[in-house]
Amino acid sequence: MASAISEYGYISAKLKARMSTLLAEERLDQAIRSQSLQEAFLPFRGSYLEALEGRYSATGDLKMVEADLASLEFSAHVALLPYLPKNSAAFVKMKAQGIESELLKSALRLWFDAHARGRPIGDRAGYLYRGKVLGFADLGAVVNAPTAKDASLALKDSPYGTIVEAGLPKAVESGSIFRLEHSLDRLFFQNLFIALASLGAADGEIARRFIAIEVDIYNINNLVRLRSYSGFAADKVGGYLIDFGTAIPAAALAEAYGSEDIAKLAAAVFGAGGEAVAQGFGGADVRARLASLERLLRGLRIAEARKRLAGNPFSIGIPLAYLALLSEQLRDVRTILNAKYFGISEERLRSFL
Amino acid sequence: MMFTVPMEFLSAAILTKDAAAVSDELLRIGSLEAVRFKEASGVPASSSLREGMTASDEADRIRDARRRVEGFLALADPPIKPSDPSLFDSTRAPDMAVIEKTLNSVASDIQALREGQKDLQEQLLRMEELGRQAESHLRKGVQARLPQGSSSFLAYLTGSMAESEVPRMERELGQLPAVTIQSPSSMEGRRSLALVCLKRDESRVRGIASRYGWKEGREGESGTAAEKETLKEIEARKEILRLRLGDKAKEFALLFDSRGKELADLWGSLRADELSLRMRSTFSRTDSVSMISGWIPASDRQRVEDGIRKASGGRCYIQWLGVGQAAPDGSDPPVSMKNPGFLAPFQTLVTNFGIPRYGTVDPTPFVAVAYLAMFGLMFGDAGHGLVLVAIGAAWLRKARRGGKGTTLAQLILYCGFSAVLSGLLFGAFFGRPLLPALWFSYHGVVMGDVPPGAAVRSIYDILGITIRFGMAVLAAGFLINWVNLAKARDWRALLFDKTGIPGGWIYGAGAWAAFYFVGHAYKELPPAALMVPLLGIPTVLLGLKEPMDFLEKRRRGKEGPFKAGMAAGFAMEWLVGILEVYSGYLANTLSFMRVAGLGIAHVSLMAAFSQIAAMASPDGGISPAGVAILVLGNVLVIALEGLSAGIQSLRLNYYEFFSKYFNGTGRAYRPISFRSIDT
Repeated sequence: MASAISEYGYISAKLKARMSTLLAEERLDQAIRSQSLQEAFLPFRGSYLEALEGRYSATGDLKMVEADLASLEFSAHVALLPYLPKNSAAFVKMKAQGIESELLKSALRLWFDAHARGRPIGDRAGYLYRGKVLGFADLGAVVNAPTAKDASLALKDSPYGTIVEAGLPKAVESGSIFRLEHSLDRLFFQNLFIALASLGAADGEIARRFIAIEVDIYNINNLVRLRSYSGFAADKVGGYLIDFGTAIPAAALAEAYGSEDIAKLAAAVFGAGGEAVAQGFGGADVRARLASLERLLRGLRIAEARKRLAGNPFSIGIPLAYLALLSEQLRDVRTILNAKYFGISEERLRSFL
Repeated sequence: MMFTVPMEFLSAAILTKDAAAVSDELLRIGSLEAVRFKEASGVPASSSLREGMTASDEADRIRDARRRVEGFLALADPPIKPSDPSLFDSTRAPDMAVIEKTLNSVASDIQALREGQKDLQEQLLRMEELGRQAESHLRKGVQARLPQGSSSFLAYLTGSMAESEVPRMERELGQLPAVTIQSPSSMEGRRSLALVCLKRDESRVRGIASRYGWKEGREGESGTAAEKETLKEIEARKEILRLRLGDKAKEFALLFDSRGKELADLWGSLRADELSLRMRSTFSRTDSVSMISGWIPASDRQRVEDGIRKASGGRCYIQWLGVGQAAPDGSDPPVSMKNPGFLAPFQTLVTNFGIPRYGTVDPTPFVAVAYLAMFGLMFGDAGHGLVLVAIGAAWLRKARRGGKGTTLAQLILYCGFSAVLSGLLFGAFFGRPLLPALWFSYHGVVMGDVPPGAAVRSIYDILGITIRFGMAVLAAGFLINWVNLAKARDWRALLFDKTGIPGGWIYGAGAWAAFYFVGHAYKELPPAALMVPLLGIPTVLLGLKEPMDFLEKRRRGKEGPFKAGMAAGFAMEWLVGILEVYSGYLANTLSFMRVAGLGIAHVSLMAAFSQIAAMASPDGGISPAGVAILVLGNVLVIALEGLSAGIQSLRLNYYEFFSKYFNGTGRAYRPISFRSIDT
């Protein structure tokens, strides 16, 4: 049986070296302080994000840049697979399917907009991810499918076929695709939990911690979205949340949704200090306070990643830490570029990060 | 070049109204490493003078604007070279509101261009999607006829409309992935058309068309012809869009053609303001008087003095603390090393290790000679050297063209020359003894093929050469250290320290004894009557170091009276020192055997590849496989041995040579000038 040193030694060394290629805070700060979108790309020169400026200069199109960022994140996951031990590779592959699932959701949203809402999607369909994904062949076939049945057929050989077959006609009927999206997310998390169970004790513990934060972020995100639908019944919220042992219990979240007591949630994640922090979220509406909580969770995710980087290098901790930091950085870059495009002030932009 | 550059300390009082002009002049000369008055005097400026001008907000604003301009200049292809800051007058405060307005207008022009690009890009994406679907179905259907079955994602509508309405409808359809194919002629003012779109947009296309009087009809002759033209039409539309995107890129270039000079000058002006503010922020001042303090190379003294007098119109008072005098706060002057440009890579090797103490020998030229000699002895092959010369020259050329650092490229080039020279001495060319050896054939010695009467006959002889070479290097280290100590008038260290005369004496005596022993067939040591004073006197001198130090400290009041226990401490220090000298110097010397080791490895590896190549060529000649093995072998040896020899040369310099004399406690001289580059 291979030792953890032989299994993780190479990839950990490789990723620790690659970690230095991630953007330094100073560069992100320069991008935040830039005065226009074009200038926001300048701090990325000489970094792994250098190609973004070229893409933007050639097309003037920020959405193309965003598509590149998504592709970058997806390929970073896939590139690790050959270097990881079997069970860890299966787990990381499952994480990559989360990105794939997001891409599919984008395609389904486009289909839904075109067919159920009768909206033109010509200016958005061009940005669909065209690279190779894991579970199926062509997102274009989903978007262009003339009927819901055809869209399901395009996915029949993928893990998503059954869910889309059942969910898409219902989405058309109800006028909302949210439940279908949640079903896909639920599938992703179920598969992720199965992959987690196959990890060894030490790796499983590390991965569990990362997943717990991810689940929390997902649930908080969903609550923010549900708040957008006015009059969404509090007792139905639970159906849109993922329950996972060590994260904030879904029941507590559902209760908080009704009572608007965000401080309690913060205490569940961060202990007593979290409650105090959450009190400082101020008198903003519950959506804004949930968003603040989400930002805290993202900070927690980064802290967890840094902790793992300083910890045992012969475990799944380093790959997961690298992916977490990369993913957070790409999210920040996306936020900064969009803020520059929409002319959002530096101060407000900083509040989003 | 022999020693670090001598420095003098400038203190000048000028009128505050002349501060900007004097600051500009000092930046132009570029010699002053400014020291804040309060730092120099050790007294807070506020006690006698008001706080110096910081203007940090203004400085930040100027710096941010300058960085913005830098970004714009870098966007041009090729990047625009900024103007020289020394050409701009920074005595007047820049109008930042106007400058920021200018920069915002450039940003806005760029954004407008990008928006135009974005529209075109979106149209292109729509056409690409339509084209993708059309091509996909054509591949399935083989025939150049678009499918109309239910499995297709394409919709194909035929009909006619008033000719005058066609352009308006096409404009509106431009927002969708759709193309119109027109029949070549019209009938009674109506033109037959085919509309090709994605099925998902069919109802929308039909809706748009019907607003312009579209009458759907059966496919006629013109429709069939149009069908065949659809792909061509999509391609043509894509090509037009690509050309228009190319036009946008040209517009972008034109933007910089028209505003490039303005931006380059703006950069120069902002940089001048930024540096001037930075310089003035080091002045201490009252409303009427400003004080300038700082270090200047002694050779620039007159130039700086003239510059200050000229810029201040003679309204100044200047005082110099000459070379050798301590600064007002007692700190050492900064260290500058003045070497010819070609020694720059070796100066970098020195500063990477540390900055030598002010006033000591500049080790750069010694490092250059030692490093190249070591490399040549380890990598003695003229052919391999030529390869390094070619790599170094190409890299150097590329780096110079790209305005990038040339240090490593220069170092590789020099190492290449060194290898060529030593290759000629050893007669080696691509691992073979093809050249007449000017000194001895390294290959012959390693492979046991030595001509009769050769001076160097065995591996032991080569080891002996490298040990002698190491002793010469270490002796040079001792000599440099003695010069440093004498220059610093540190006589105690010179006379009693292990790196002073006693250390060198012991090393010399030990070396002589070792050669005597070897010269007598390892059977006889030098006479004891000679060895006892030879080694005993310096060893005793070493023992005096600690007591002498104690007495000196006591004289300065830093130590109390002598206590009995101190004698044991002195003895222990002495014993440790002796051990360090005898074992340490021996280890330092034997360390140079690695030079022989790597040289032997170089020859052996090449010989091994030659033998493998010969085995791969059974006919006696050289087979293609043999050639491949030789090429691969040479590449491997050049890469691995080259790297190894470079690293080992550096190691021997840093740990054997430097340990004898180098004191890296200096502080680098960093003057501020119009040529300063912010990192």
